[in-house]
Amino acid sequence: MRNKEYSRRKFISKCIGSSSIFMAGGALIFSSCDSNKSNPADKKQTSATNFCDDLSNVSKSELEKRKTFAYVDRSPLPDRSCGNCALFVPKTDNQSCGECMLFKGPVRAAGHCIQWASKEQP
Amino acid sequence: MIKEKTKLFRKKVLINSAKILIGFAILSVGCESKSHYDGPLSPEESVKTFEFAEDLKAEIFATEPNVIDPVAMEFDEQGNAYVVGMLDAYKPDSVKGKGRIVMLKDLNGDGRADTSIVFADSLREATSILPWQGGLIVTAAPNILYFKDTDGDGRADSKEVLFTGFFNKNEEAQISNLRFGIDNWIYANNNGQAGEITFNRVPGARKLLMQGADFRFRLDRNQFELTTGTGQYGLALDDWGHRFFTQNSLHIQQAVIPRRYLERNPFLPASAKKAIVNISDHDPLMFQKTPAPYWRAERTNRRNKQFKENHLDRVEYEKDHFTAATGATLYDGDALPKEYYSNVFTGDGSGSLVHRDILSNSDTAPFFVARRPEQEKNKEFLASTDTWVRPVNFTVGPNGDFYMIDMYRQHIETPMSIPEDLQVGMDFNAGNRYGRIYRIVPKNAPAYKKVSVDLRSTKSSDLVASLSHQNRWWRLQAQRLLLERQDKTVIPAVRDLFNKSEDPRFRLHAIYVLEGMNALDAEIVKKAMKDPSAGVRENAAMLSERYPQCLPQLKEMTTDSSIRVAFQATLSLGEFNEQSVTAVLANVLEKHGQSAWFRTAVLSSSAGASVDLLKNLSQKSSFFNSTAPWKFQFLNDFATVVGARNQKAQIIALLETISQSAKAKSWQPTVVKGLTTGLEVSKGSDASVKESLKNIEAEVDVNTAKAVQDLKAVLL
Repeated sequence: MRNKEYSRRKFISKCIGSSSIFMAGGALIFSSCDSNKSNPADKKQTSATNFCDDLSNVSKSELEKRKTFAYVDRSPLPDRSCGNCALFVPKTDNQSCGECMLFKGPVRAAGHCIQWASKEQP
Repeated sequence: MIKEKTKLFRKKVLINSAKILIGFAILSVGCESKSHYDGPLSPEESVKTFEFAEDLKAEIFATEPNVIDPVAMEFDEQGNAYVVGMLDAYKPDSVKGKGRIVMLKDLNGDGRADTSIVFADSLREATSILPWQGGLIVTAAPNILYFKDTDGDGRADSKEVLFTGFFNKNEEAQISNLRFGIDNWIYANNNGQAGEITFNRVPGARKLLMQGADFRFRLDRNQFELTTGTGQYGLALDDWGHRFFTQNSLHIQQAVIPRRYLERNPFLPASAKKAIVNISDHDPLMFQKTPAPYWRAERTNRRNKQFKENHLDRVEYEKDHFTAATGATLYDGDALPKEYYSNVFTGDGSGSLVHRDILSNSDTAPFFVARRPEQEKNKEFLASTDTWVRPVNFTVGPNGDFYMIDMYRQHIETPMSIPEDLQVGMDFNAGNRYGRIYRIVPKNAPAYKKVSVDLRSTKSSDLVASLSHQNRWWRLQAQRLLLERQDKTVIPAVRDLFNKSEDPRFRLHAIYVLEGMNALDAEIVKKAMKDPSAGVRENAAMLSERYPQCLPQLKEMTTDSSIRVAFQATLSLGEFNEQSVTAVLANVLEKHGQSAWFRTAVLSSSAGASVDLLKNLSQKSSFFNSTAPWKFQFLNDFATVVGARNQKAQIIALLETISQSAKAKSWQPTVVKGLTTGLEVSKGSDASVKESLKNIEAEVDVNTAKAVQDLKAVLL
């Protein structure tokens, strides 16, 4: 009987312990709600010279995103490209490519995707 | 011992419970976002939130459950309203294919649909429909389909894949917006997406590579081709066939140069290939009544922070700026006051509003200017305070009324463009059961009266009468039905309409009905080229390309008082290769050369890109006597084309022409630079030639004569 009672306590205790760990884990996961932190690996760049072509550190899901946004290295439109898109962040040391605010990995200033948006000046 | 253990256990329970509560508290404070977003209103409540700029009102035409996630509505020749429900919008791949088309029924005639029949279902991302030969053409990427109900039960029992190969990775930018044009072509937006298109009715036809273009086709002639794009969702065609389209932040653009003219010169440099223009004179402001949703405000904050960190002189606004412009539609009915005719209406899904543009002709450019109406300088045609209102499209029906299509969803945004943490608490399914369509009418409009329509069984001669209806819906239905029927007995009546009608819109319909029946001739076109209406003349110029006997008149039209007519005449003139054309194009260049549009119109043609054109210019005193930036630009582009074409005799002739007069010599560096640029991209230039060209480029400004000699040597 005692053993049984003890076992039940032990079981409940274990469950609560595990739950709190789970909740803490959950809280940690959800705490990412207030940040836009990316995996440091995503920011890893090999060198400035091949930055434009280096997709080795870009995750599969991010590669899928650029496909969904129909990103192409060379814009088919004469006056519209990533270089004059509001969502393009150029690299200061390499103006021919940079990053996009919608998906990770290098994008070319000459590129284009369906989310192209005209720049607005302050 | 047991007591102690019990105490310890209770303590543990208390501590862990506290941890759980804290965990919940963190979650509810940090990530609970449902409270950020309002719930839905009933249609009756929602319509009360509409604020019109003028004396108009909205009446409920259809609601859930008859329409769900509506994105397009068309009335067929029987007056039946068909609605495309994009029930699979913003859904993962696993649940795609839930789209459907329903036919609405208003059984009691009170102006409100009370039941619906499913015409077609299990559609993947269907976006638009167009009546054709008793059925419906449907865009549903990667296909354009044709559905037909052959047994009269209201449900389609026949399905044909007409075209396939369109981009289908993002529902916001796929093949859409089917429109029957006055020129008998059916137009569709493609947002310039890549794709290899095949037409199943012409199995051996060459695949079309779609990137950078929109699409048009004729099922009566089995033709299909690229057309100037890139329209996203929203396509408006005016009475004269001009095309206006929407793209997210650019709420109204115009296709200025039809793509076929650019394609006739494969050597055009990128600088001369611009074919579309943003015609709004009031970008990017809009006036919404709703607050920015939490996720957008937060995303905008983050982006602005990122701009700052990267020292970019840039700012994003969370609201009151077009970001989700959609559904551009031209009002061409007769129920709203006359001043609304030919206005373009565009929704902004994120701002829960409808914007109105008045199109004005420009005296200086071959395109329109889109302006806000005076009374809407700081407000919108319609704005709602209900954040669920998503005006995505519009249409005009047989009664001339204007219909607004409201997807009615809590969120309208590709989830992928929202940071993952901000997606927490957003229910992208909120709205799966809703959809509203409103009829917009004057406040003092008489009570709704059903219009009886039966054009399917109408005699062809009566269809000709419908070509003169004030509501374009009737005119286009009649034109389409006459095209489908090919009943040649009406030709005399249609010719009569062209000759006698006082309304230029009706005359133009007559012209294209004849065109569709292969009954057009040079005499009609010649008469149309002298029509008092610029819109008729512009179309006549285009049609004159088929009749060499129209050439003398076409040349004269390059000096037309309407700049748009002169522009079209220039483009059309380029279809002719007669020697005499070159001199006319040289005149055009002198008169309108400061316009990049005209320069492209000239340069796109064979005659306009020939060395003879430059010879003509060099014989005129005015062209080379004074410098102007546009002249340098034209000469550079011209020489680039000649270089890229890489025909030695032409290059030598160009160099000689530019060396002949003392005045012309000062333009040599520009010409040499253009030639080297063209030669560098020419397939005929090998590595050693390209190396030499680099040296020539480097020396041209220092020693032009030597650069010219070196260039000649490279060619020889």
